[in-house]
Amino acid sequence: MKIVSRERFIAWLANELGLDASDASKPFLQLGLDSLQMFEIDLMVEELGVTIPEEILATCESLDDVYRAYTESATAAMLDP
Amino acid sequence: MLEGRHVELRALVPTDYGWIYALSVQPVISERWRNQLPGTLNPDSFGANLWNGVFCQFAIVGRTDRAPIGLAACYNADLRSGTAYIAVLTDILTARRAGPEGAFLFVEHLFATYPFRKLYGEGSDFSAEAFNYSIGRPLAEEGRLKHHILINGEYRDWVTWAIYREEWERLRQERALRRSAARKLLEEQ
Repeated sequence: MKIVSRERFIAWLANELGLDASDASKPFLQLGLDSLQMFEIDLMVEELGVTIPEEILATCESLDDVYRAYTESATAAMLDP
Repeated sequence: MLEGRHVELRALVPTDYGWIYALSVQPVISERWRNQLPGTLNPDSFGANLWNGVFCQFAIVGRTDRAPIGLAACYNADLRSGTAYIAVLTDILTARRAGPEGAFLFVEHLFATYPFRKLYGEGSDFSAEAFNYSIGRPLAEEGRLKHHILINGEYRDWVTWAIYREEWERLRQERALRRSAARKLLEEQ
């Protein structure tokens, strides 16, 4: 499994969501994202072949958090396929 | 069609009424859910009331464990005009992924199976704030009754949104493009 670099991952998500990639650390609440958009983010990460556990996804409050959860989930999947 | 990655929609059976009742009486839900007319939360008649005006409805359950997660209902359908109302009931604290995925599957099913032009959702402006980012795409605000409903001692607006078939189709195409963009991202890595 390939892990996408942070820069490319954030740029891709930000582009798809119509956000500024420099807002990666800004809380979703502050960006005005809602639960439907969080679902879209979830779908996008799954397109990369990684499922973030729901309890971890629930703690993601920014794009940076999503990237961290993505890499941790991808690494866990590689260690325990 | 009725299976997602994490949830699936299955026919509702009378043994589901118990957990749906338990979900419906949660304070944060009971004031927003569509069955808020006097008496609809009477446990003796809850099962029958659950079908009032319903065109079709499904239980949302987990794909692996089949555990109940929520209810997706389509009601007040007008096939001549091509409109219907939808409501999705889940525990918002525990079903962050399952709720939206169940709603997504349900809308897919309704547009694929019936000649609906638009599907309406309704709720207080408190709910509207929760969907703020999605107003415009895919939700369009269609109507607003000002200071209509008393919630927690405050008169709130009552809002009706619509999902148009064309907008849903456009989003489906965007998701397909996104899939190929994801593949490209992985290839280039």
